[in-house]
Amino acid sequence: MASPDVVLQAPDVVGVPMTYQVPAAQEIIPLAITAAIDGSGAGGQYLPTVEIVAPSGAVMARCPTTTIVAAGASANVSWFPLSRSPTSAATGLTPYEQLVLSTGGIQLYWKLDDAVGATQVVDSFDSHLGDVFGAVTFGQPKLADVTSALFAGGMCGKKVEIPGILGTQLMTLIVWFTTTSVAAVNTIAWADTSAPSGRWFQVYTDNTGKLNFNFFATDGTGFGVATPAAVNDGVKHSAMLRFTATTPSTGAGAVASIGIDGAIVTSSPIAMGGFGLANTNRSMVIGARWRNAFDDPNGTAPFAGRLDEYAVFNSAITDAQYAAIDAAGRVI
Amino acid sequence: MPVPLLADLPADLDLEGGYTIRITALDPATGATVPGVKVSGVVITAVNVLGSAPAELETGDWVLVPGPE
Repeated sequence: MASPDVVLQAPDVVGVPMTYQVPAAQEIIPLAITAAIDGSGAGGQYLPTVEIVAPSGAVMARCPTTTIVAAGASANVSWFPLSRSPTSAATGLTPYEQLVLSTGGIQLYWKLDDAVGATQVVDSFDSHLGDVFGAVTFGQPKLADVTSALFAGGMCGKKVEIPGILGTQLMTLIVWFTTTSVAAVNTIAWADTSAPSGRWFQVYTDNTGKLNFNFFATDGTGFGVATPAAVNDGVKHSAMLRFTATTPSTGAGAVASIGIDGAIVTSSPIAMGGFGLANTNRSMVIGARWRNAFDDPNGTAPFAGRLDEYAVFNSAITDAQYAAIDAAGRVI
Repeated sequence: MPVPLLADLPADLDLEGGYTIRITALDPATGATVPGVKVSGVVITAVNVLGSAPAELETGDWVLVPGPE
């Protein structure tokens, strides 16, 4: 049983950063950290942040506020452990998780709630465990639910075939992200098919900060849609990438849509040329691009930022379903 | 008027000796420390896992004050 709480009080006023190092042979679990941040002399906008630094100097966790404070403005900040996503006693699931898992067509769900140092990401169905490659830091503040993962040159996913996910040739992908990247390809998700050089879908922000959703027909022809506005503003966003068709096997009546923060921002009819959406995928990764054994093992075109609650459906979920999931991910 | 903000910490963040809690202000675009920001009134409420000698939790100018009963 742990001892009663202890309270550590810092010296009055210092510049940033202010540090507290746990003494040797001691061990603490923080329950709350509060600070008054005086930004009247700040050199620019900023994110009040708690960092956890290992004895080696490596930053093990970075816990920023989700709100950017304007230059010259001040903030009173409280950090609390991630205990504000209540779980059901019956299911062990948070309300967000229950909503995602009750939405028809859910096939793969990497919640990214894995422990710091985990080598695999857990799939909600325990059948699509993703492996971790390179610099991925779990235990980051949630974007939507429980915790998120910081990607900085690494990726998670499967480099082998994940059969049966998309047999319907319809798809919806929902993911939460935050990034400030201006890279030409800042990869959120990448998936190939079992055909040689076959492509399935690609999701990334580009050098204008717009979110791109590329997808491919069974004959290998690629199509794409993008958001009309940039989304690389460092603020958390939900994104929904959706492909639907009235006749999935031929692609007739195909429409590709992107939703941001609960609302559709792009929706375009797609002439698929008589071919349905590619399926029988070979691999799927998030946080970087990985196409074949000739690519860097940790992926290329890496994502810079945090990802959370990556969910793939083999159905075209409705606008209302997406809006509900987005709303569930914004509950404090 | 300071803006009240809430932020998350990882759950069950068990910090052994040598680990550092650093409160800072980062540029949202670059991640670099923003100059000119001052931090005051920092209070860390924690469970002392070892429990036997809480006074030893003091380091530098930090002050240990009684926790809630």
